[in-house]
Amino acid sequence: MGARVLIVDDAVFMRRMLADILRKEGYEIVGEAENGAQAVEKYKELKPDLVTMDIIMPDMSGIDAVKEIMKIDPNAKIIMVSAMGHQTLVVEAIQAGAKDYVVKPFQPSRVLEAVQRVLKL
Amino acid sequence: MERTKEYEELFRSEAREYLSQLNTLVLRIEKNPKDRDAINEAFRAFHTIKGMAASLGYTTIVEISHELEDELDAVRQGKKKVTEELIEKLFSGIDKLEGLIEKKEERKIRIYLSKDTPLPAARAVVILNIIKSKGELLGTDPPEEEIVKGNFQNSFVVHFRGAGIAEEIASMEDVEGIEEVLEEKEEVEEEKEETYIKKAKDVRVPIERLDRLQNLVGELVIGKEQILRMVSRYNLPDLAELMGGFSRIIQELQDEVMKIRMVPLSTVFSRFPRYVRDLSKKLGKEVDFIMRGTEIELDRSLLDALSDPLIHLLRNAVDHGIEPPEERIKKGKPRKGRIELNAVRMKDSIMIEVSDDGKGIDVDKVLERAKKMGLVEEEAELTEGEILKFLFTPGFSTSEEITDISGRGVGMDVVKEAMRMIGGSVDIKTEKGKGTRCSLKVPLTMAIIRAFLIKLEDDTFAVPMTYIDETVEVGKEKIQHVHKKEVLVLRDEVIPVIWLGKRLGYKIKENQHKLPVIISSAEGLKYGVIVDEFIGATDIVVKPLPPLLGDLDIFAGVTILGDGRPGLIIDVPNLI
Repeated sequence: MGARVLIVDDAVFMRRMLADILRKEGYEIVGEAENGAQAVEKYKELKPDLVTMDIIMPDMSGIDAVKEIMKIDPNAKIIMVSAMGHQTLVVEAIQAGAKDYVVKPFQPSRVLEAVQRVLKL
Repeated sequence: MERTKEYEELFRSEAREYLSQLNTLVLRIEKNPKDRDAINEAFRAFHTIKGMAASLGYTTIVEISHELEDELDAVRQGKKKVTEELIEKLFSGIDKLEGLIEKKEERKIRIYLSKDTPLPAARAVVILNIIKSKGELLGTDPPEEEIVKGNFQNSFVVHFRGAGIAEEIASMEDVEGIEEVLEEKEEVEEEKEETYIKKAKDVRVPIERLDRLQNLVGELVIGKEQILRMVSRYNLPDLAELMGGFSRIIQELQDEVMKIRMVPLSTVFSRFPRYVRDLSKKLGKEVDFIMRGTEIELDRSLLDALSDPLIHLLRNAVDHGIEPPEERIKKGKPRKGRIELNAVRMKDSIMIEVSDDGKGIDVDKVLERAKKMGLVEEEAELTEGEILKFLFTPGFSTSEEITDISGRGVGMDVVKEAMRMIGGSVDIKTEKGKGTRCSLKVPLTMAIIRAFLIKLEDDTFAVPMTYIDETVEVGKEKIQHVHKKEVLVLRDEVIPVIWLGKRLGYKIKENQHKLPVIISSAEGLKYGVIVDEFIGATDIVVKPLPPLLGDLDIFAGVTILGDGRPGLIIDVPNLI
């Protein structure tokens, strides 16, 4: 059975793209969230194997969400999804506990590589 | 897990032996590219290393040795010629393998990110996190704070401990490649890890255990001496006879323990030819380097202590001794310089000499420098031996320019100090234009040594045999005054003398007609040490001095004498 993934992004378009890429490879999308606060709630509720996390979102940024989730589950596996140019933020997120990152616009192969690698950790 | 560790250890020690052979073999191939035996042997050695590494999953070691094996195979089959390039490649490969093997799972790699890596700093932090979670991050270059800010160009260096991590990093998308970073070989650092005896092929015992064994035997020797003393005091013939056999057994035990600790000089010396070659290449010198007597055996810990001083002497010989080829030709010398390292076994010590046929030490320059440094008065007249002694002063160097090879003002004093630590001595002789010869006299073993016991008033002192050339008893009239200094004329030789009693605050016996004198030579100088009375030679067990006395460098340690009283061991070179 494929791993259970929670997708967090404020844009429906991005959530849809990510979901398609992951579903095609057999991952199960167990939930979606459109801001940080929601992400934290959904994480508690769904206990997904993996989270993809946008950085810039209304109502709690992705970074704060990472920090909150790490508090709930120190073993949480989170991959940051970021636009080019947000290096400092991504670094901060990774230092907060995110395991990897992908940059928008992303190639499916890069997303899958990161997901597979992080799931193996 | 234990099992793996055991295999790793075995692999390490065996691979180390092969690599040391390989250094010699490649030198042979360089000298004679047609040396088929050497080529075949080197080929096999790489092949064996590859096989061992493969079964432990050391992929980098496998890759490197495989490549070198291929090169040599091509040479074997006549498909390739031995070129300078190939020799360099072999040597640098050996170095890489050495680095990898010595450091075990500890690695230092440069990580190259591909040019189009999005957010390189973030990628770097991901990598650092992987290392931190799976192993131990030991350091980075540039420092971590800089990496995090993205202040690096395409690549950065990580130093870490942990198996399989490098492979994982290498397989990441944004990572273009990784490269082993080889450190300047720091002998000292390596030594710490070498707690295992190399020579023993069958059993490997941590050297600490041998130390303990030796200490116990030492206690036994002390006990024996005490009993023997009692036997003679109370006149107990039966016990005396019993003790005769007992003493022999203890002696044998002592010899055996000593032998276990012995390893051939070649275990450490085998890397010197390579060192001399690399250094002379770097400095544009041409040198033939010859070693003799490397099969002689020496206590492992003493041998380790010798490594640095010898490297130092070899460096001096190449850098300051041997002249550049053109200069040698102009002087009518053979183009190639010659450096010899000879080891000779003496009775209770080993003499190791490093000699070169270079330009020698400019004694006048040394004197000039000594005067400049205020070590000696302007008008002083000194013998050559006395002048050379200045070379052992901390911070003394005659080299004008500062190179990275030597001439930083650290010099012979380091050698002297290292030798002092192990109860040895150093001596230097030079002839302008002809060359320099440095001799290290090293005791065979450190814990139990042959010493000569002497008396001052009622106290007994021990003088290590390594410091003694001979002992003589001379009439008081033989001591004369020259230039306000007391000297002894012995067989037409004028030898400065020291009254040990005076130095240590004892009364000098006025009515003594025959004076017992120990003749000693060290650091290029011969001198006599006058004592009250000779007792004789014996084995003593050296114990370190308690802290307060430890600061007095006149004493090298303390021993327990047969009567149970402590006897201080005189460190002769520091008397003068």
